[in-house]
Amino acid sequence: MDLELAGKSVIVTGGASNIGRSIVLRFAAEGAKITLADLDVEAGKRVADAAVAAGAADVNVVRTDVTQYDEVQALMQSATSAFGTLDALVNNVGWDDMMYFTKTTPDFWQKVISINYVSVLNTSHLALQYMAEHGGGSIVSISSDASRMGEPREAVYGGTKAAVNSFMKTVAKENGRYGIRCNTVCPGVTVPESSEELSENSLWVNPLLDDQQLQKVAETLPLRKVGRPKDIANAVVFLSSQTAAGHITGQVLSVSGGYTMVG
Amino acid sequence: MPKALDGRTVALTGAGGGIGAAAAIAMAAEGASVVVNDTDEARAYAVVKDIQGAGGKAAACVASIGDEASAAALLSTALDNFGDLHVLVNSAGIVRDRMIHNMTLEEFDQVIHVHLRGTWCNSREVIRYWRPKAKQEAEAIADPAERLHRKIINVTSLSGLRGNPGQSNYSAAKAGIVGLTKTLAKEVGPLSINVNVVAPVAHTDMTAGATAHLPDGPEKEAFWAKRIERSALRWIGQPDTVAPTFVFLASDASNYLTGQVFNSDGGANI
Repeated sequence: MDLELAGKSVIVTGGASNIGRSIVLRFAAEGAKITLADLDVEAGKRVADAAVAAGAADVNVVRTDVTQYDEVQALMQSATSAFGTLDALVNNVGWDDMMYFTKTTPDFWQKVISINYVSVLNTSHLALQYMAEHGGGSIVSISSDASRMGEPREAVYGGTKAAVNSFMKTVAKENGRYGIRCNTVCPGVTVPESSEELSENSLWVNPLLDDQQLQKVAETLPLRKVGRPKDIANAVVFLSSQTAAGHITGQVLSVSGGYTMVG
Repeated sequence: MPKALDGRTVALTGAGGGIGAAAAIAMAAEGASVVVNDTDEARAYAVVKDIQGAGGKAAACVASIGDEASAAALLSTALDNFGDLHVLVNSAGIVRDRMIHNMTLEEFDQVIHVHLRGTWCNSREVIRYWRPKAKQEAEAIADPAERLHRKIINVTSLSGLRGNPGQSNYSAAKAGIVGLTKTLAKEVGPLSINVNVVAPVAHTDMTAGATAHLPDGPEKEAFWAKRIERSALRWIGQPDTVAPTFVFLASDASNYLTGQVFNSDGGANI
């Protein structure tokens, strides 16, 4: 299916590893112009090279701490001046350190809230204003099935992701009239397939679950397999396409092998 | 360039018009061989002719959905013409709108029959056909990610998710289809069969029926203006607008997605 994303200007945050990397490569295969935002510029450049080889029209890597509004302003400026516009934003940055809530600290809460939620506010605040003035666009945020299930050891993370779900629905309602679509994808346990997919800040540098635990997780899922970054990327790219999904907004879609069936 | 549904056979019910026809045409354009079911022979063959005229592969199955015989006819049309079936789309639908105090039991039964009973009968038929194949593949291929994924795509409605006055029959059938979808997703997921449900909103002959009682003019226009105002994108699409969602859910791009309600509605249901 031609998603008509060739030549479109796309920002992917956290694009240097894992799910973000896969999203970059899927947009690349569609011929998009990609602004890859990440803290790890070296890993970002490696992904950029792979993206160009995969068919990206162009790729810029911009070192960005998405928790900082001024850095996100610079990111937006960079994307729109390099590629002339912004058609799609993917809020992919995310982070957690799994532990029981009683073991967490207020500093940890602030970090989790900042990376997972404030980052989405920063990027969306600027992207929505830009898109409203330039004929519309698409925003897809990566949430988590932890937002829908109440997942042990992910109390603060799950809370921030539930906030993302609600935020995305609200901005979908507020901005649909300007032709802006806002959707959310909830991965379940999603595991890189090789070390090549990691960066220095990657969640999976120190695997969250060992092979035995992953096997156990897979056995509990209806589709009997853990997720892979490309599974999520396929849904994100579909939702970002005005041609394929121009009628879809305000949706929270679980891509998690049937782990949750909430929507 | 390979297409999303090359080598796949898809059977769609109620595909002589509306969303079913649009999905059939979109899927055929992506390389699928398509079984076009409808109760109306002329409509079914018209869609088949359109697809064939565009260089696609299609066969008609004229049958009224809702029983075991039509489910069997659907599957046998696929097997006889294309040798296999990989995707089932349960898109046949009728409406018999009336407030409950005026609705007859017959009107309730008719709607339940086509939507809920039909979706169940067709799903059981294809799952019985797929099950031994999928079990054999599961024994031969250890990694579920490497196995062929077969797909059932059902159709629900905003009415089934949110309720709608005058549609106690239709909303009950459509809500039933959501429960059926999730149950089947859990039952057959281990066989690498994905079951999802689309909740579309689009202008079709069927939705035109919602205002059939109104004369053309301001009242009818006001009805649709209100509908449009309720959708975030201020837009009610056409069947073509919704069709790519069916292609996505039939393709390998959605192999990790199951048991989900997929609203394609301009933001009417957020």
